[in-house]
Amino acid sequence: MNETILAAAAVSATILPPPSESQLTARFLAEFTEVSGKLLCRGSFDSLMPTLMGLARSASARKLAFAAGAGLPLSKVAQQLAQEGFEVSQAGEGAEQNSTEAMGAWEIGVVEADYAIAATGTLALVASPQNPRVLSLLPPISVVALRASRIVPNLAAMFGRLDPAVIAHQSIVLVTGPSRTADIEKRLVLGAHGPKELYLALIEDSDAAI
Amino acid sequence: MPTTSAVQDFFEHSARKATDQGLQKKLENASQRHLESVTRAKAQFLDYEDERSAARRIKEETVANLRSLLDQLVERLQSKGFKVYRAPDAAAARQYIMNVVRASDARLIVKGKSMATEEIGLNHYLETAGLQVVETDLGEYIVQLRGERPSHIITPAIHLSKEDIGQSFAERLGVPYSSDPSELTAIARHMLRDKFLRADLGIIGVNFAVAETGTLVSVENEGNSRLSATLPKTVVAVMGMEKLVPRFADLSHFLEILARTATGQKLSAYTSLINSVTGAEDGEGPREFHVVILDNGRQAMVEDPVLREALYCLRCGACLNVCPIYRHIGGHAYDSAYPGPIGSIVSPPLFGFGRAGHLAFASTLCGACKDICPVKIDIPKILLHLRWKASQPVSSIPWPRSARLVREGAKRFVRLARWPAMARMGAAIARRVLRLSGGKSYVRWLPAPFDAWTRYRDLPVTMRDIQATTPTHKGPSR
Repeated sequence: MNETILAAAAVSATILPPPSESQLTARFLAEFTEVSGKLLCRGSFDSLMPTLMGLARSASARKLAFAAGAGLPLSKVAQQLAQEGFEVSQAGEGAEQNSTEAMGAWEIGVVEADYAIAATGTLALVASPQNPRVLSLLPPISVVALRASRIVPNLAAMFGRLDPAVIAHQSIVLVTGPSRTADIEKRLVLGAHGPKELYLALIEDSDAAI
Repeated sequence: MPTTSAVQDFFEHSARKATDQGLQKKLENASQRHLESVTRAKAQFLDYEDERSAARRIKEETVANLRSLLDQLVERLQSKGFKVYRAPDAAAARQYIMNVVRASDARLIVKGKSMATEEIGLNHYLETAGLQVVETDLGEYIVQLRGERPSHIITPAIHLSKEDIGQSFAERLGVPYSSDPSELTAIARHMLRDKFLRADLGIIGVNFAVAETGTLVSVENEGNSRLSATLPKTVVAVMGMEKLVPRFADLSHFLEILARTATGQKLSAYTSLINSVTGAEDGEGPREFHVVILDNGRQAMVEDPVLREALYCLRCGACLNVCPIYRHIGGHAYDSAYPGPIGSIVSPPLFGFGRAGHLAFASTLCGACKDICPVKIDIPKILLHLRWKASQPVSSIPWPRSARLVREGAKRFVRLARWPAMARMGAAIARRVLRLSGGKSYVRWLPAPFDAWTRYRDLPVTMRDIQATTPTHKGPSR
């Protein structure tokens, strides 16, 4: 039976055994692409730096902003890119508050997702000083790194995983594809006020988890 | 009781809209696309009926326990540092918001989409005081530029073609004319980005508030609500008091059903679950976050056993998409912050029967709205209830002359038609008159004042239909 169909059945029924990581990943990628998300890289964490640099070069982008990363060492990538001559801002520990003018100049924002939802292709970002909301909102290109182990079947499952302390105090944004509007004659246009492009760095090796 | 002028305005307004060929083309296009998204939405549910029943149960529980849930929500929000104001009516809400604006010395205000702020006329009130209020949702931005009201809950500018919008942008923003949606969106993005970065205060709407956790939920596709709630130093969220759900877990249900029935998406692009004001936790965001909880007539609806289910509404707009009346007259003819079927049932209790009571009559009771509603609101039943509430002797409502003549004529005919000979004679006269309009085709002409109908459309009845169903001197033909 087809992987995708199994995955689809698994995410919606309760009587089947829980879906495997590969089933969830397959379903997530299918839905993510459906909402115009793009895959930047897939595999080990090491593939992020070169592909991100390639993206920045092809987009003629020089200013990047990084979240500190929850499980993934995003600051390492930030430092490497700074060495390559890019202008890099980092959020969290020790970083000074950026002026709105500075934030408005960012061209690529790189964050890590806390969870992803397979059934809808959604990325869940929990806000914190290390992971400010503006990073996935202001820059026209948004890059989200995701550990494949963090993909859950559906929205209800994700809510179940959230720590009540998180829900009590931290805001969460569920991102499903790039910003969009259909306000003009119901014709779909991407990039209304939020990011026009949404890229995913899917990290599939567990070594990267720290 | 609907005032004479409200009813007359409605008839004039809707007649103009229904006969505006240009508008009809746009509404037709819009309706096509809206119906497509409705079909898509239904197809995404394993069982739409089950989903609707579950959603309705939660809303029933919410409204049944509204008082205690609101208390819980307020307590939760305040413990997190939100400032909460429970506004009894529109004037109180406006005044509170004005006080916040003054206290924060705000000049430039950005607004995310909020039907509740349309309801209380907030923009006009603030602008009259000399403040700059910028709508940031693309559709709202467009209608604000044109000085118009939104015509649909989800797609405010759906009554406009891309050429209309291009024209407005060229005139009001001084940009070269373009009718390409991508280019127009890029222009709006550029113009509004500057406003977002400079805004002193942001006003947003609330789709759901979770009583259990004190979470404010904002659902959108563009990102303008996120920007309005994150960048300015002061944020005000305005919500109708019925926009609650009891538990955080209830949200997963509503987020999916709302996205699907509103736009046919699995989930909207951005769902913000706002759990904190700012500062220690986030390091970004506003210093002050106010929540205005609006009554403005909702408590009275809670207490009315028929009207209370109107409070289950998620503001998805699906009922507008399927309504044949809305499809033909557009949103503006309703002359209310809330158009369409849902508008027809909430406008009279919120804005008064004098101003809006006639909307209860602006329906054929076809029931399409009831079939699509994700929380199963029985809109036709409520419309009938409102008609009864607004009832008074029919002759005092200024119906168009043709309608009155038909009614009077029918009354007399019914009395006379008890005699078969009279019935046959009446039918013979009708056939004579209708024969003048052509035999096999639909009736194209009727004498005044019935030409109010045939001026713009045919009477979908042919001579054969009439011959087949009326008695002749040979006796009944069937």
